[in-house]
Amino acid sequence: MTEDKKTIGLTAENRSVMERIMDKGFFRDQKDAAMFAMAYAIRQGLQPGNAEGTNTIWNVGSLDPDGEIRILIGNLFPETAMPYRVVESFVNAGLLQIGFRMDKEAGIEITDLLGEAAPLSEK
Amino acid sequence: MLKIRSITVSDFGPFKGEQEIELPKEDGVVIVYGENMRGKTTLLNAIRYALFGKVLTRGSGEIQLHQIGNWESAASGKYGFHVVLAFEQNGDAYQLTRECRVRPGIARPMSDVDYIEESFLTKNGSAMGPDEATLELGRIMPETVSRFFLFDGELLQQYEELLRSESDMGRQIKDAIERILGVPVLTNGRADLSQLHQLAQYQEAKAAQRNQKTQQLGNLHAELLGRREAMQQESARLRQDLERLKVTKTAREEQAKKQEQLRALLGQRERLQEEISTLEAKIEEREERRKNLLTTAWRSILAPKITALREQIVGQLRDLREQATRRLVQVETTDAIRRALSNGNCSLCEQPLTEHTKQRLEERLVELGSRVQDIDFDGEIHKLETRISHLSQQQADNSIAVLQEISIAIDDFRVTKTTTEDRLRDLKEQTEGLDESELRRIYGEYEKAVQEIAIVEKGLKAQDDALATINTDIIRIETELVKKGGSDLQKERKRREISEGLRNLFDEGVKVYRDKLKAKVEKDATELFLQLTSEPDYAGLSINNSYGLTIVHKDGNSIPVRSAGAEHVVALSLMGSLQKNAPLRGPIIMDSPFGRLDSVHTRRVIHTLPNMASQVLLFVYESELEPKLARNELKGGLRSEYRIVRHSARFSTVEKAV
Repeated sequence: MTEDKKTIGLTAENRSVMERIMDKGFFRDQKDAAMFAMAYAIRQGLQPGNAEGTNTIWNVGSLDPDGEIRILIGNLFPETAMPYRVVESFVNAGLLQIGFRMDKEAGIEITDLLGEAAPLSEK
Repeated sequence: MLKIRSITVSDFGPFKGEQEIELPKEDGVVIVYGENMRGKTTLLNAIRYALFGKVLTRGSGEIQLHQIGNWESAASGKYGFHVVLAFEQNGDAYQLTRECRVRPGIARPMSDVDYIEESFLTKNGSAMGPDEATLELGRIMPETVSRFFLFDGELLQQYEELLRSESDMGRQIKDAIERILGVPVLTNGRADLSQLHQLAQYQEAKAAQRNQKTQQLGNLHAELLGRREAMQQESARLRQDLERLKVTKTAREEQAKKQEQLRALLGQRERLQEEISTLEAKIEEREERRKNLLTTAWRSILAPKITALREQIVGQLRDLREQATRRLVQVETTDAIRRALSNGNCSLCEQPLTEHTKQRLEERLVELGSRVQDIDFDGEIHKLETRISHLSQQQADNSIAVLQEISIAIDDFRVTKTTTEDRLRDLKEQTEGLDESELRRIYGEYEKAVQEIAIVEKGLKAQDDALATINTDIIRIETELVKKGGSDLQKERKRREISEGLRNLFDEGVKVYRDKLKAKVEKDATELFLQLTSEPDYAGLSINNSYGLTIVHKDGNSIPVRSAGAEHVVALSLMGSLQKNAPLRGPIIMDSPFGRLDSVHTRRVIHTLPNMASQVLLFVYESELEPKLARNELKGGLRSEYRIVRHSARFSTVEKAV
């Protein structure tokens, strides 16, 4: 693993979570939902890892056209040399968490996820 | 006097299988208790069906026979129904059966055409022929007066129409009242005598034609009589048309009133549909905004973390800058010490250095040399400044609160939408089958009837004027004939004069009888009213030409406006009075008669019921008439109590209360 990723993918399990999220109609497209999942994972305090068994969904250019996310990940996790690999791991970790929440509560609303991702007391 | 002995219904409405209500021989009151939707009105309809083959809705519209059979029986493949009414009239025992059964070859009936209806009447155990039975039933209980025997308490306000002389409904009720009071006996007699008078006039004209002296007058007389007869026939035709049109107008008015309610419901339905559309548009708009905000929500979610990190790096930068300043001082100090040691003089005061000072400066130089680190301060500071700059750019507005607000608004709109959809669903059920074209048709027919009535009335007035003119001419000719005619005309003239006198006598008789009837109805209705009303300031009732009754205050003034309860009490007083004055007597069968009355009036009505008719059958719900109150007020006058027992929404039984 000497090179950063050029594409971001989802595991099979998270593809299914993604479909369930999209069925709720909260997000305009899967990219928005993926970014939400990434932020959700980071706010949950998860650590960068390595997502295994993913299938490509996006090119990093389409997900992060101006490199903003790469820089942000670089800032938040300066020790990493491969920010898009970190992005992929957070997107998958976030979706996994959201999937668990949806399993627990079928009627979960975006407000619930927002509340967990960014408690109002912090704002 | 007609007295019902029993009513048997089979698979009629909610009454699955055969159910029977027996009415005792003795005079008194029988009460059938049943909560709403259990089948009280159905029992009233069962009696109406047996007698007249009709089942009516509250709006007086007819219900299709196909809709009457018991639903549970139909579901198990048993279609059709029957009603048996046993009654007595002037010592004769009758049994009337009306049956509706499925036409042979029809497995599953879909409409009235799939049924055959049959009725038969037995008198003292012997079956009567169909024509004979129809005549007998028409004599015992004519449908035209049935409203005074079988009535729905909810419709008693119809009698208010009697106070409006221009009302067609009022006119129809007035005609029915006159029929039950026996006025047609005289009016029919008067019509027969008018015929006889006209016949006598023809005979007089013929006699005049036979005499040469009066032939010309006779010819003219006969011609005028012929023209008058044609005009009378035309007049009668127009009156029939007018009657038909007025019936149509009243029926359409009634339908329109009913449809008005439905139209209001339809309006409400449209409003709810609009509300739902507005809510959907709001939800869609909010969802769109939420999607827009969620596109960058990740920034907002990470905002606190970015802020914290930025603050942390700002702190690091501050420390680094302090370190860089310290390093600069350190380098300058080292340089100054080195210069002093090299020159042997102090670099500030130029004084020569002592050995002791040199030693101290060398020690200091070693100390400073050990602290110097090889750090690229500029590079590090630049790195931190870049990170701060990036993080500052990524500091987004916190849109989470806005997102939460929008989501809450979407939830609220959805809840309101669901509630509105529930209301709409209810309304759709209520307005199911409502056809707007039907509404337009009713209004169209009503308008058409009104226009035609105006035309026919105008034609009738012209016809009446022409008849008055021709009658004057006929009288003039008859006067001439008296002058010119000889003894041969005397017999015919006498016949004409006698028939005319008799007709005039009946005409006068009708007026006198009507006046007397009205006085009697007013007196008896007043008596009943004073028993029924709880208002001591009311002195009685005053009757108008249409048998409409107005409450009179003890100060002699009329009470112009009255409450629904007062309307009810006045209508019951009229009913009782009509029963008392009618040549035709029968039972009073009332559905929900106390719904509009308070407990005081209910008690008074109950107390008075045995005076209104010898047999009274009440269909009531318990909160309308408490059994205890009925028993206390009626005492021995209460002959039986029945209860309609619910088994399911589509299955009730009638059980005698123990």
